[in-house]
Formats: sequence, structure tokens, C-alpha cells
Amino acid sequence: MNLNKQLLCVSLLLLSLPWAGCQYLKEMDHSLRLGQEANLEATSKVIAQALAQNPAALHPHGQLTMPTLNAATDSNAFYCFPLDTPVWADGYDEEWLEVPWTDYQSDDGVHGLRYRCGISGNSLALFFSVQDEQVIYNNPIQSLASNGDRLMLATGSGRHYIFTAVAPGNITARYFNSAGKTYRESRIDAAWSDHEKGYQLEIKMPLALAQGRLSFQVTDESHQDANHYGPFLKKASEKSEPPWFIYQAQASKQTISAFNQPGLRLRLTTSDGWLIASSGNPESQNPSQAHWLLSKLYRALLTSNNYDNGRYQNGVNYAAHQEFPDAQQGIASSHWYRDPERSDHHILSTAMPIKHQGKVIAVLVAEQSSEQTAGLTDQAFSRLFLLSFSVISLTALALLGYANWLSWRIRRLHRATQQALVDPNEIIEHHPTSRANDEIDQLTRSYSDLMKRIQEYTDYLQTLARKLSHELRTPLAIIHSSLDNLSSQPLDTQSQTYQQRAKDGALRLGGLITAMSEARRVEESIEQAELERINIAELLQEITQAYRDSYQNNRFRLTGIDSSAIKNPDNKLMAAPELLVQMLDKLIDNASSFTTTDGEIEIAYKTTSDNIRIDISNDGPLLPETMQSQLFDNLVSLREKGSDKPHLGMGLHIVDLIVKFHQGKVTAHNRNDGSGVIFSLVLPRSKPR
Amino acid sequence: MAKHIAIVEDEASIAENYRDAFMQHGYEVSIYPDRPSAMQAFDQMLPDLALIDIGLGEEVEGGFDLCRDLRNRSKTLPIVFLSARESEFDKVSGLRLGADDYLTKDISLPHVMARIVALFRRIEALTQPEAQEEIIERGKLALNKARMTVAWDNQPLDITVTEFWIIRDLARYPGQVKTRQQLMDAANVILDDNTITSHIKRIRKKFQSIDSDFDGIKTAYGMGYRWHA
Repeated sequence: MNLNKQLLCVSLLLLSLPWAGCQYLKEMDHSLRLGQEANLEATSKVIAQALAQNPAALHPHGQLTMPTLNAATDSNAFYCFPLDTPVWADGYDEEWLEVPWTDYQSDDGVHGLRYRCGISGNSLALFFSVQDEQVIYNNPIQSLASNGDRLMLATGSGRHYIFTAVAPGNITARYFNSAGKTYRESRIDAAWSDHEKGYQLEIKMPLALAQGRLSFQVTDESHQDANHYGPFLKKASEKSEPPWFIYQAQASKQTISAFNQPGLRLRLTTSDGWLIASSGNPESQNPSQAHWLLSKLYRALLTSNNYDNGRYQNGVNYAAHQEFPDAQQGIASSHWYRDPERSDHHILSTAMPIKHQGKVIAVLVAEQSSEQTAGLTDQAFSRLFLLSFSVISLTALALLGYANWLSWRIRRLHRATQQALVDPNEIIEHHPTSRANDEIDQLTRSYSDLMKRIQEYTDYLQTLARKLSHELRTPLAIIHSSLDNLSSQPLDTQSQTYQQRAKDGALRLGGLITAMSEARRVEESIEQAELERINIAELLQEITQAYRDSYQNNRFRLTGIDSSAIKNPDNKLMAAPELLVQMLDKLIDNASSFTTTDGEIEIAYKTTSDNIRIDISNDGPLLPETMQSQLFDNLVSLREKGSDKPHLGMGLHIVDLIVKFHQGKVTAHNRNDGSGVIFSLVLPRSKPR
Repeated sequence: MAKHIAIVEDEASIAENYRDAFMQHGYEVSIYPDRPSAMQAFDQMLPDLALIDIGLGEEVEGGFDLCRDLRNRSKTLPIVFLSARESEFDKVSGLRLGADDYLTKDISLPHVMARIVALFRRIEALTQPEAQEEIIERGKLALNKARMTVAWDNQPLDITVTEFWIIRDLARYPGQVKTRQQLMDAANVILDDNTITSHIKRIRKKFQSIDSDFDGIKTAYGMGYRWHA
């Protein structure tokens, strides 16, 4: 993993920035919602208090105590659903499909019916479906309304209307006056129809006729006993009036619509949750200005918040709403719902009790969309998004650039150090410097210093041999001249032996000193070398012959040169022949000393358009892989200790010096089959300096 | 009368060793440890031969100065440098200042003696009539063994004793390859191959300064050199 990738990984931490931003936005959204809740509660409290001042205005009939209706257990009151379409009393329920049934079961469980109740404009409409295995029609000959299966509707006016049919179809509502005489009520339309389990009865009457109260009783003539049932039957025994029925009255709506605000829906329910008035629209009046994608993203982020408390149930009964039970106890309460139509919107619903004389008489439900605040915050979000996006891209770019710069500097340092290893002479000149005063710069300088030290040390080592040879020469001359003088003295045999030994030792010492300064002398002769145009092939032929004479223990094989090579101008090259020969001497001497007795030394000659290549290979021990590049350095020797001739590791260094002078290249590698070593010499045709 | 040799050498042991050797061969020897004392003595009387070290005490190049002075006083006085310095630059400088030879200190005493003798013989020969001289002629080359002079196309070459011996050894048997060792032996010197190479180079240049087409000394790669008639 390089530095760039590492920094890229680190810069991924930048992504925590938008995350933090989102956390902040969520916090903000949360507090905004709390504020909205508090605000809505305050608003609804004011409205509830205002409404409580005039409880009569809450209901068209002015009841201080609102009717109660427990649909599940007690069917003693009606809730009239608002109907969108006008009802035609024809005995069929096509207008009623959206209105839920209310079931009624007689106490003994024998009889059952279900009914629907609705308000359409100023009309009250009812639809009964009565179970009756055997429908007995009214016989008008016996009486108009007191025989046959029938339904009696009790109203607030005290009149009890009786609906019975002689045959399916339109029927007439009748009532008995106090004297027991039958009258017909022409303002009521009704129709009777049969179905497989009984009969259906549809009734439409002016709302005013009911005077706010309604109940019913059914008579099933096919049963001998207990043929009367219905809610009114029980009440009749208590001599009470029918209960108030509940509906969304125009008067109530007018009362609360006085408090309408944009983006606020006010609803009035009975203390047990039945809706009696609704006014306003909860939709926000401040539509979001942000890009749809951003606003969607924002809401998606907020969806994970704790407001997902179920869908909003837009019904006529609020008893099931979570905030309602508190309101029934007289405590204001709020709750968030998911908008059933748009999943990323929420609805805030606050239930506020309306109290009169310490009693909850009704509940005011105020509702607002979350868009009221979200519309504003998502603009903040989109700004935050754009800002953090640009900051992240900018920072990522800057970091990437910085990383590149850093790694460029480190690579440069690395390259310079590598270069220094390859060619120590270029340590100083090519070491990178920079004006940035940072750790890398310090490292670079330290490296530079280190390299300089190494260079100085190398220089010292290189000059040491020369200085040493110079300094040793004088005392050696003293020894030599003394021994020479001694030899002219009359000495006995013993002394002559010692004198000869001392002379031999001094000679060897002299040879060593000469070898030590050899590289320096080669450098000098390189400085004074003159180039000639010489035929390398000819030179190789001659010199190989010479080597055959001098190295009797080795066989020499020269390949790549034919008889015409001497005349071929391709074989000519600008070179210093003495230096080339000196170099070849060193290589051959090296090859000969490493090969076995009677081993073969092969000199392979090859020309290309650009250069001339000479491979000198010998059988013998292989080069260690690690040392191959250092082989041509000064004072490096791979020879095993204890050989008879001194080796200071200068031979191949001299080869390298001479090859460099000819702008060529010398490399050493093992033969592929591992049988020996090859020294490859490449001399370019271009004119050396 | 015994020849007088002046040794200017700051290293007393060497100077005395040389003195002993020279005196055994019948020469009269004076030793001067530094340039001022040598100059003072030379003001009185010039020696017959001067053996000078380059580095003299504090004076790093005192020998060169001394050589220059001596050459100004006498065109014929043989001057030999004997130095531990072996760089090509020092050799060239020394010979340019008019020294007759440049010897490094690893030379053996017998070799030094051979050189001294040869130099005296050359001086003597110069004063003798030419008729007695042994002259080797190889085409344009004329070698006077006694005077140790070489001429090419009748023009004299200014050469040192070492160079004379090398040319003579090569020219004696034209076409025969002389190895470096053989040339060293002929020149009475123990040197390394490089020194012979540079001697050959210098000799070639000297011929080429007279005749730019000079091609008399051929290199036999890996073996040595031969005279090309």
C-alpha cells in the first residue's frame, strides 16, 4: 500500500463530516419538532379555552354534555357519517359503500341486524339490513302499521316512525299519535328490499325531523316470543328519550373555523373520540425550495428518527389515536404519525381537552404537517450538503495533492539514494534539496550528510592506498638500499641467506605497494589516454594468441571472428588500445585464477549496429547473487582468503574505470547452466569523450 | 680524478646508503639535506652529477626549483631525479625541467649505478671524436650507443637514458617482439607495465614531433612492442 492509498484511506474519515452534519440536522430537526409540538399545544390550548367559554356553540343542539357512543359494546347512539353523494331511498346500498356497518345483536343473541347512518346535506339517511329467515309483510287489511315485520324509529320529536312493507319497494313512514291513530309522514322517503337473509330498509328524512335524537326497535313477527328487539326497547322501559346522535354539524364547523390558520387542521371530537367537526388543511403552506432529490434524501435521513409511530388513521373516531387517552383524562398530548399518502412526511397531532366545569366535554385535535419545519430545514440541509460536498472534494483534492507531493519528495529521495548506491560519485551533485523546512527535508539533509560522509569515507579509502604507497616508498627505499649495500659487504653464508630473505620480503612489499597505487596510475593514464581507431577483432586475435602463450594451464577459445574480420570496418572502434589490453589482461587474469587447471576460457565476440560486445566466460565457482553489482567497486574482492598472491580488489575496479572511459558497460553474471561466470563487455560505437 | 656526485635528499638514511654505494664505486659524494645548503655548495662548485629528491624538507617541490637552477647554470650537467613520487605528472614535469632521468625510489642500487655510469659515459662520449663511435642505423633511425643519442632523419632527438635503452633494445632486432619485462631489463629499471607503456608513448611522441608519419614502434597486443622497419 503506497502513501497515496494510505492517505486516501485516511481521507475517508472526511466522510464523518457529513455524518456529523446529519447528526446535527437530526438534533435540529428534533428540537424543531419539539418546538412545533409546544407551539401547537399552546395554540390548541388557547383555542380549547376559547371554545370552552361557549360550550353551547360546540353542538347544534347546544348540549353541555356531549353524547357518548361506544360502538363496540353499546349501540344506543348513532354516529352519522358524512356522505359525499345524495342518497336516494331505493332500498339498495350503492351510495353507502364507504360507510362502515354497525352491528346490533339482541341480548338473547337470537336476532341480529346491522345498520349504517349518514348525513347528506340537510338529510339524515339510514340503511338497515335486518336478518330474518321468514319475512312477514304487513297486511294492510289488518292494520296499516302494526302487523308484519317492521322497524320503529324513535326521534327527538317524540314521534316513533314505523316502517313496514306490504311488498318490496317504496314504503311510507307512519306514526301513531297519542290517541293511537295512524298518520303518514310524507317528508320521509323509505324503501324496502328483500335479500337472501332478510330484508333491507333505506330511509331518508330531513335532519330537522329527528331533532338530534335517534333510536330504533325491530319487530320480527315470525318469532312467537321475544319478537321485539333493539336499543330503544331497553330505553323504553326507563321511559327515557332516545339518545342524541352524533354527526358533523355545520354549526360546529363554523365555530372552530373561526380559529383556522394556514397549515393547521382543527378537529372537534366528542369526549369519546367521535369526530363532530373538521376545519382547515394540515398541509404546509411553505413548500420546500430544495431540489427534489435533496429533499427526498433529507427526509430519508430523518425517517430513521424516532417519529415513525405508525400511520395516521384518517377516520371519524379518534379513540384509537395514541394521544387521545391522555386528552380524555384532561391532559394535553401530542403524537407524530407517518403521513399515509407520503411516506417521508409526518403529521403532528395534538389532542387538547375542552373542559367545562372541570369535566372534559369535548376534545380539540390540532394537526400539522412536519413539512411546516422540514420545508425550512431541508433548505438548510441542501446548503449543508452542498457546502460539505465542496469542502470534502476540496479537502480530498488537497490531501491527494499533498500526498502526491509528499510521495514525490520521498520517491525523489529514494531515487537519489538508489542512484547513490549505484554510482557513488553522483551522491553530492544529485541529492535533492528543498526549501520546505519539514521532517522530510530534514531527512533529506540527513541522507545528504550521510551520503557525504560515505563519500568522504570512500574517498579516504581510495586515497589511503595511494598515500600509503607513497609514504611506504621512502622507508622501503631505505631497506632496499641498505640491503644492496649489505650485499657488497663480505658476508658469511648464513648472513647471505638472511640478507636474501630480507631482500625477497622487501620486493614483495614493493609489489604490494605498486598494486595499491595501481588504480590511481590507471586513472592517470586514462587522463592522458589518446584514442585511436583500432580493429577490435584484430586486437582480440593477437591478444588471445598471447594469452595462449602466457596461460599454459588454460585453453582459450575465441568465437565470433572469422578470417575476413581484420578487413571489416565494422570491427573498428575509437579506443585506447593500451587501456583495452590492460582491461582484458585483468579480466583474463581474473578468469584464469578462478577456473580449474586445464579449464576453458571462452572469448566471444559480437558486433551490432550500436556496439561491440565481448563476453569472457570461464568454468568455475559462481558469483554470489548479492555481490554482483558491487563486484566492480574499489577494494571489493570475492576471492577466498589465503591465496598466494595478494588481491586488493582493484583488478575489476580498474576494468570498470577503463570501460567507463570508453562509455561502455561491464556486467558479471553466472552462466545460465550454472557452470561458470560470464563477464560481458559492451563498447558503444559512438565516439568516447 | 674521481667524479663528484651531489645527493640532495632530506632522508638521511637513503642519502647515506647511496653515498656508501657510490663511494664503493669510486665516486666522490656530497650530501645536502635541503635546497639552500645545496645551492650554497653549487655556488662554489658544480658537481659532475646531481641526484635530487623532489620533496626537500619543508619545500614540497624544492627539487624542481633546484633542477631549474642547475640547468640554468650548466646545459650539460647530468641531473637525475630520485623520488618516491611516481605520478605521471611529476615525471613529465621533472623531465621537462631538463632532468636526464627520473627514477622512483623502489629502484635497486645496482640499477641506479648502471644509470650513473651510463650518464657519465654519455658525457664523456660527447667530448670524444665521432669516428670511434658505434652507430646503429635502421632506415631513418641512427643510434649512437656511446653518446646515447638518437637521430631520426638526421635530426637529433632529446631523450633520457631510459628512453635510449628502450629504443636501442627495440631497434637492435627489428620485427622481434620485446616484452615489457625485456624492455625493463634493458632499461635497468624495475617498473610496472604501465610505466613502460607511458615510456613507449613518450618515445613515439618524440619521433612524431620530427616526423608526424612515424610508425616505427608497433604494439603487439598482450605481448609487447616491436620495431617496424
